[in-house]
Amino acid sequence: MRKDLLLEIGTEELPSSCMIEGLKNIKNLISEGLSANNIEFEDIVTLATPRRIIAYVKNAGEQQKSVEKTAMGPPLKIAYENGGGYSQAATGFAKSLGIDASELKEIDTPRGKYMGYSFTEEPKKSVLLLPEILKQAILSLSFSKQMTWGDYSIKFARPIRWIAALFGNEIIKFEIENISSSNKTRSHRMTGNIELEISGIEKLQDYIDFLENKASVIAEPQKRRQKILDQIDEIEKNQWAQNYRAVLDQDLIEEVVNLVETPNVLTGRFPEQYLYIPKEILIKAIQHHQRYFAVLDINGNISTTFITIQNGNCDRSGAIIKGNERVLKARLSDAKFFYEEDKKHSFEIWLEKLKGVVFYSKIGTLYDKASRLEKISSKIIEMLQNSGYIFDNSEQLYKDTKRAARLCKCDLVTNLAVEFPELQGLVGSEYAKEMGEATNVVDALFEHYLPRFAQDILPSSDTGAITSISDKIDTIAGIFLAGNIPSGSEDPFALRRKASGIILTALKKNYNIDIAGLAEFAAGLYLENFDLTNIDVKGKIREITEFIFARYRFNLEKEQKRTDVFDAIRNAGFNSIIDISLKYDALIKYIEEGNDISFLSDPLIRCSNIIKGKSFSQVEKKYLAQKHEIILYNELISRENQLQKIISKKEFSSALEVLCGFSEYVNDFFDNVLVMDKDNNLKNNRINLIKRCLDMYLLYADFSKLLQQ
Amino acid sequence: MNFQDIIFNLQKYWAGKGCIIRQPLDLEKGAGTFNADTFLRCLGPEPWNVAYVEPSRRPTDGRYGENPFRTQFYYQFQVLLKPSPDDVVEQYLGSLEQLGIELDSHDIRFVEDDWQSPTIGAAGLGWEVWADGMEITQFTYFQQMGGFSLKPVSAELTYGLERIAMYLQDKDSFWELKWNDSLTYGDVLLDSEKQWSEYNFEVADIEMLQDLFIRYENEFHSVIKKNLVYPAHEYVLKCSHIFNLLDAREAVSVAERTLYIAKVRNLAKSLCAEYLRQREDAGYPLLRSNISG
Repeated sequence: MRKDLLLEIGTEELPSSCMIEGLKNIKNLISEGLSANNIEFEDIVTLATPRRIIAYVKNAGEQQKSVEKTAMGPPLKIAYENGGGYSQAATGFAKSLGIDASELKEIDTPRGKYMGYSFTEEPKKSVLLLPEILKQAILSLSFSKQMTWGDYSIKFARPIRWIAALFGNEIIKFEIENISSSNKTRSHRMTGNIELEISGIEKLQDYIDFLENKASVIAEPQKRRQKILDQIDEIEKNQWAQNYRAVLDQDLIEEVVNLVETPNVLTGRFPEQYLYIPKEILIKAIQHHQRYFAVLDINGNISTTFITIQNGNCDRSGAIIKGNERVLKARLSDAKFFYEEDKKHSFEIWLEKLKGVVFYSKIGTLYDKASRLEKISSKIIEMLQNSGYIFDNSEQLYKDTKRAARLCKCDLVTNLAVEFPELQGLVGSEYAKEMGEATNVVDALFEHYLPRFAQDILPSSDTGAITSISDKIDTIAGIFLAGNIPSGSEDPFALRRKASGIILTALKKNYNIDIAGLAEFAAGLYLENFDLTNIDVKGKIREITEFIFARYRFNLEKEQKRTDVFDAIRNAGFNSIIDISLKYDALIKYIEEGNDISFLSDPLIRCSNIIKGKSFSQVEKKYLAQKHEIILYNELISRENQLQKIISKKEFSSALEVLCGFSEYVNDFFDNVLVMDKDNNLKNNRINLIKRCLDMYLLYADFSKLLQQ
Repeated sequence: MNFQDIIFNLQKYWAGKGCIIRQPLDLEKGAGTFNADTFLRCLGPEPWNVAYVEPSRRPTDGRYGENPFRTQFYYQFQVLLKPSPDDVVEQYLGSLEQLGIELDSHDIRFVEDDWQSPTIGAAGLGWEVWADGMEITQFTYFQQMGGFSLKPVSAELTYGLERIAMYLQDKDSFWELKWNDSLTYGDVLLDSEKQWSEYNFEVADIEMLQDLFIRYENEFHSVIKKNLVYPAHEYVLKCSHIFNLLDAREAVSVAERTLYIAKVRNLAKSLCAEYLRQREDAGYPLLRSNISG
């Protein structure tokens, strides 16, 4: 027989992140607890609101599953007396189980035959086990931020105030600190926080309906979300006749869903006098802190209407919307104050201020950083041009990126960005526009912070992309030189995201940046101005390069793409992003077309094995003695030349064909020629020949790193 | 409800809940937390239930009286309940009802706000309480003070009196609030707000402040050596306020900021250690009175 099990942990208002953690972990903990006690169940559904974490177990067994157990006794050889009767060891063992020795059986084990006894353990009733299972699940629930309260010792996200635990209609009784579990819950605060007896629950939906109808609580986060969206949709259609639409920031919706036990959408207005604040800043000021939604008219202009989500069912007297309007007005008044104050300043003043802002101890101020960024951005343009990249107007680009590099950190000292840190970039960009900076510079001031988080947009303009890469490599190099390298979960400067940003931006913009070269240049700028003696700079540059490419590899891994192919290419010492990416794609295509990679890896492995630890010099024609080595030599000379041309044209698929065709000759050579000839001249010449063959493969990749799949 | 009536009502309500009603500390401070009634009393095992008005100064929040509710000077109503009672949230909501806020007509929200004061090594978890979007109270379960973990845990309720008054009187600005039946909050405080804003942002003598910081810091050290906890406590407050003034004058670089904060935190730490030691030596007298009462 089976019944449903309900656990509702009632708390004071939980932070949204704790709700999500609790939701996830309580499921695992209860599942583990039930399994460990051999209680079968069909499924566990978890729900949460700001005041409750809920686990609902469907069809849990009323008693434990029967489990066959075997008690192991003495080895067979000592189980019998010489005369044939049971030995003392066997009877003693049987007695300990309360059975007769004749009930023992022989059992085969890897260590030989033993006497033992198999039996089915008497299943216990679940009601007897559940108190401990639920109690332990609650006590084991941990949160990234925990607290204690009163004079108790338990740690939880916020104080626990009630626990409802029901198995069918039966209360599962246990105690945690001052709280005894019961069959009672509490209603929404707005409807009086009334104690309610949970009853008549036969299935999950009954409980969900009970909470909604009796307690004014919508337990399913998904349903709260849908209710918000439906109500907004309704307002857009009926109240606004589709002339306005809400800016539905997804993150904001998710957050609001977790701030209410039941949502109600309200609309309000703010005075027109704030509309002159730049739109993007205004939208953020509306969203930030108060979690309101901005509203746009059909032309995309911001309107004086906003949306707020109430935690409750209705705004009985209109007091709620009125209060919120007052608050928004004051917030905008604040934004306006900062905006007006900032307008009294200029980029020149902010630049001066940057001299007083430490970027990182030992390695200077943000002003120093801005100066380095000017140099790095010019260097990147130069490097790209040298690698054959053609910019539309490179003179202008040099000029714009220099300016952008110089100004890009200024907004960090503006009042508005200090007050609304998530407006970084946007503020600089808006102010640059107002102060008449070139469009490219304006865009770059925003774009250089991109990407701000995983899956964020990337810079699209050249000025933005180059400034962004400069800023990121400068930070990575600086922090590495100062000795603060990310480890494990510690990455306070978000260097991993920055490294990933460099890779993604370069790929998007088709910038064939030599990462090692860039790292060396960026590190070099620090050495000019800061005392970093006692630092193995070459080693640091290698570490930085590896760190950045590790993000490239990580991104592939995340997309479940082959990392061995990447390793093969990187292992041959290539540092230019686009080359690596094109080689990667070509090699993947080659493999996907069904070609056997051993045709590339085997000859390479044979070559590298045989020459390990040897020294090399030129191949000399006069020592080429046998037919197959002469053929190999001739193929090598012609293909080497051909391959270099093809690679410089980045035709990597053809390059693979050339190498693949070459493998045949390498194999013939190894099959027919004895490398270790008695004649030292012949032997050494063959080793030199093999070394050159190996180097030719390595022009593409170290194919030995490829894994047979 | 007039501004002064809000104070009377809260005092009465919390007195009814067993709090002693104290008066403000006669020193500049950023918040009621700095008052010894909270700063020191939250330490150690002794129970403590107290409520008081605390005039609070935040020089950088000055807006020359132009912002409807951001000012460099305002009044907090501070309640400290140690240990935090099981029904502390209900007690708090009861106090709002006492002020005439009907809970079924308003959206009272508990918005996550984990509070930290690095200058005094204090940290707590709790919320900003919003009434219809307006932050009216800071509600914190103290976890740490002066770097010391706290047991039992105190609940600290800090009411923003002006914001509550705006809400109750349906006013859009501090200045329009009715203090009593004839005078407004603006009549009483607007001039001083303007002058202090100007002083904090433009006039305060930076060199004098820097000098005072050093003198006060030194004074703290010589006072604490003599085991004078309460005088030492006041010098921590003085240092903290001077730092806030320097900050308003934009006279603190990022690097110096860390330095100043570390200095004040060290003072707070040795202050708390000395207080804990003295209470222990005294055998925690309030623990005994609690048992008998």
